[in-house]
Amino acid sequence: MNCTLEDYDSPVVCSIIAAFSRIVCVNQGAAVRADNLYVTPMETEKNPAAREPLGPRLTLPVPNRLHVPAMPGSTNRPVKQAAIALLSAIEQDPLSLQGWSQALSQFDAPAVTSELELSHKQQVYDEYFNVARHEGSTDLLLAAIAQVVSELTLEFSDSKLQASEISDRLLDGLKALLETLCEN
Amino acid sequence: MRRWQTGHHAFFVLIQGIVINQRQLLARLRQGNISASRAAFKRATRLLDASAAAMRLTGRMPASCYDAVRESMTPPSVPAGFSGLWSIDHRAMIDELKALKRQIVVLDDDLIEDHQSWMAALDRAYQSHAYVCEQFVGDGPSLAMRTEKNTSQRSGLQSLDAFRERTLNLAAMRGSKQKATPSCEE
Repeated sequence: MNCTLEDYDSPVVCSIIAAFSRIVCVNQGAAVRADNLYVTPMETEKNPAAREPLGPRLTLPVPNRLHVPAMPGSTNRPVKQAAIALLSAIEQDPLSLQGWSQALSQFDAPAVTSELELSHKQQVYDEYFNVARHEGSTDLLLAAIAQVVSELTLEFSDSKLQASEISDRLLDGLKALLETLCEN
Repeated sequence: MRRWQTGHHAFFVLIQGIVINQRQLLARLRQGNISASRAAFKRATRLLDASAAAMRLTGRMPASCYDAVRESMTPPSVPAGFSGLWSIDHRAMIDELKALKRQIVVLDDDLIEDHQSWMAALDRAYQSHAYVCEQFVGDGPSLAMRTEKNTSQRSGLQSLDAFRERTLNLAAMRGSKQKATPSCEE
């Protein structure tokens, strides 16, 4: 099926795009959300910088809703159990990106609702950095960790940054984040 | 540009972790639970140091790439005044700090050392922004200052330093005002 840019407004194409956006791809063992790999005409009008997406959009919960429990059906397991399982899986070598990727490949990313709109400035900022906000809670944050680890793996694969102080600090921080989620 | 985005993605996730952690810390302090509060302070310190590392990662690029990144953050690519202060995650972190302040001013003596370590990490996080800013704007005006309406003569470094000082004072115990050191704004 060939589509022109104008076709993006048609309900049929929108439904295909919505279905496509739920696909989860696997990149080097880590689950990566494949939402919004393209940019809609409406988005480019709002923010010209959005014309050049650099990869999968990062889906994050709105921070002031982080206390909201995971939505029913949004994940197979409670967030705390998932975080404990991830921590346990990376325990042997917590500063190895490979170990993280393997552990995160076991994690099922939750389904998301339609994108939430923030204030104009907040939306411009998020669009610039290719971030979308959705309902959901810390389960969405776990999926975001998976995407970030995948992106870091790509970033560190061809540089001296691998096994550097920066990568060690980043992974230790993500480990602290998982520990934080286990406390909830 | 990919590294610029990757580093920020890591940064946003870590800031959300910091927000959750600050809420936990507030609850533990209210409960008077010293050991749980200490654990929360230590996790907060690690999260802040990781966020500093994420910022340093964003700034690690060849000098030839700086212009492209800088151009992408100025009109017409984005509205004038584009700034890290537009981030909803950072806003949430500052709001949580304000809530935490009431407990910090009456902090138990047993937690003073942990609080100091946390403050030092908060300082390092802002210094990492200074590092990135210095790469892009030197001692010139920050992006936020470059609007037609804004007649401020402050440099980006001075602006971020003022913001850093306000945040550190927010997190400080009573009577321990933070002294400003050179820093910068995204």
